[in-house]
Amino acid sequence: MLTDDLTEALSDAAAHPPFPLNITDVLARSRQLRRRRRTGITVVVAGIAGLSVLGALVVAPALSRPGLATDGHRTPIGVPHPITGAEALAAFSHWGPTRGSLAHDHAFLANVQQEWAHPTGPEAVSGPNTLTGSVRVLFAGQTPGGPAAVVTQDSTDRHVGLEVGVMTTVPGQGLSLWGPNDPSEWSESDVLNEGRFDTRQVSFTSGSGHAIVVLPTNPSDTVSASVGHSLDRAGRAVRAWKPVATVAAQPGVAIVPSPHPDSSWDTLIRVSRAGRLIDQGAVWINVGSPPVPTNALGTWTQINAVVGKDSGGTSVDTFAAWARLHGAADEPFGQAGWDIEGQFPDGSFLLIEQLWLYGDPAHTVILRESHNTWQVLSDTVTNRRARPLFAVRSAVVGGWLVAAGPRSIITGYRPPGSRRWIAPRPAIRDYSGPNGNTPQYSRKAGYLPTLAPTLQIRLVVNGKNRVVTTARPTNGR
Amino acid sequence: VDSAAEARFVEWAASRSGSLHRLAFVLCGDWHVAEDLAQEALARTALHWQRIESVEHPDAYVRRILLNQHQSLRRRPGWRLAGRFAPPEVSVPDSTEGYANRAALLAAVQQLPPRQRAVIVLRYYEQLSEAETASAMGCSTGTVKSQSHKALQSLRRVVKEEQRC
Repeated sequence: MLTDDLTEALSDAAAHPPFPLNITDVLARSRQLRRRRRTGITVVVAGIAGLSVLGALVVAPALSRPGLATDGHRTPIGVPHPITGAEALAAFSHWGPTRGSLAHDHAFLANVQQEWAHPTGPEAVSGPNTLTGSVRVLFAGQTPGGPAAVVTQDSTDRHVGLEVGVMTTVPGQGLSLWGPNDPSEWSESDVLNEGRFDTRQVSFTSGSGHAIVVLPTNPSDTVSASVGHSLDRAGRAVRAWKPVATVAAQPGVAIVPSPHPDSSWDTLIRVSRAGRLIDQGAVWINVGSPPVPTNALGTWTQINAVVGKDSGGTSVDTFAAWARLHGAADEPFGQAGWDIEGQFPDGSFLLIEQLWLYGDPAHTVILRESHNTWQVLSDTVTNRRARPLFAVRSAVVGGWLVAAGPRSIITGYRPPGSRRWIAPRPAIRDYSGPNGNTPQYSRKAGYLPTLAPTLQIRLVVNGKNRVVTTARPTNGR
Repeated sequence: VDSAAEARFVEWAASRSGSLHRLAFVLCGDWHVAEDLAQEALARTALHWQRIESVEHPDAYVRRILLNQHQSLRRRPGWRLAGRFAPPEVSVPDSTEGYANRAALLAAVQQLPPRQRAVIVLRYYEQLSEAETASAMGCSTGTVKSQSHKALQSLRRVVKEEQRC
């Protein structure tokens, strides 16, 4: 009988996993998710009868979300003077009357206010405890994906200033809310002081992602959008822009048709006033998971200190340094779940990640920060099957940066011709113990303090020894 | 998450990781992608562990997360998994004919639309009832029935064609 055959075939096929799951990696990935929430937006899912809502977002921290925003150094074409955070917040504060076709639907507005105050549902978490003053509904209307709303409320945290929530209907998902997960962490973001928040629009995907709703802070501003990119011969993103009409029945509301649910991730929005471009940025909130290239790796490692001490973290500038190599500084891009960090004795930071423009292959990127400036040391398309995953010689850091790759470790290195293997100093993966200061070591990546032009690297790959001789460096700086 | 809760999560995750990894594999047909899916589902469960362990059934929760992750994965343009579903390298002894039929059946499961595949996997791999499958997928039992019917029809066609060859 077919169903019996199915049960048997599926059970047999899955009977022998070739490798066990690593729970340590799971915890590392969880911490990574938590850490991203600190600098980005978070997803909380709440449930309320009759309405699904996506999105509550604290304005200021959201601006440090990679790819979303804007930074003090960005140079998007045609945007001569990015506005300051204070200007942007003032624009939100003086929004005007509620926009949208449901602006006078009292039952809907009550529903939205209730959800904002008390998120419900299976993944609901407490919102920030810094909300103060009245709740203002900026938008309440029908969208191609169903009813949606945008809410704002002041924050007692002077660095945050204002919190904005975006709610929209997500089919089959119940009420979903993007928002702050740990209120205590928001106060760490000196966003206004850094001038990060210079957006002049609220935007979110609607329904299953086939449309993007854009609300310019000034309803008479005009909107244009680019829903995808292609690459020129130099590998830089090229975009075509189309004007987006305001919905006739809903002044100040523009709907961008999205050709594919995933294309909203690769969309840039422009806002113009009186014919002058005043803002460019990615979509604030996208439905679902971002597109991930096939050569992206999961959380195969998470290393806090491949050299020296822990890295000092990342900022928008970190990734803008890479994005500028491939397009505009605010080009949207994705990140893999793993990273390798470190800090050299001179205080410069190191960050190694996989980054990609949406729709393109993933790159392994080595970034270094020194004196508040991020520099790309290496940028290559990832070969996910290569072992070592990468080995980059960099005169700037005075050595080789090597990562073994999934299910592999580095056990030694030597210049070709040498008989003696040198054991790399283990990287610090994490910390444990009652005080959280006992290092846990990893041999998945290493900083090798030699500038030998080539190296032999000894690895254990899937339990088997392997020796690899590196090619002479071509792209390391 | 405090250390006691983390310890409880680790214990629970260790006991479930194998079955979750296998469930992810029958959904996506690739052990490496399955690893990623299962790890992501567990990581997201860890994020809300204290609430989940007190008010929810963690097994159902992580399965729902996994299904959602898989649905998202299927939407990603770069992830073309069709044809990659093959019997494992380490397999139970089988006749050549049985192996071929099984491979064809597994490949056909891989070709099903995501929701149909999820229904088939939950019903015939996880052995869930229609009501449990509906709950896991967040849909009605009627949807489960219709999706299951369509999926089985497709699979029967494949099996018949395989037998004709």
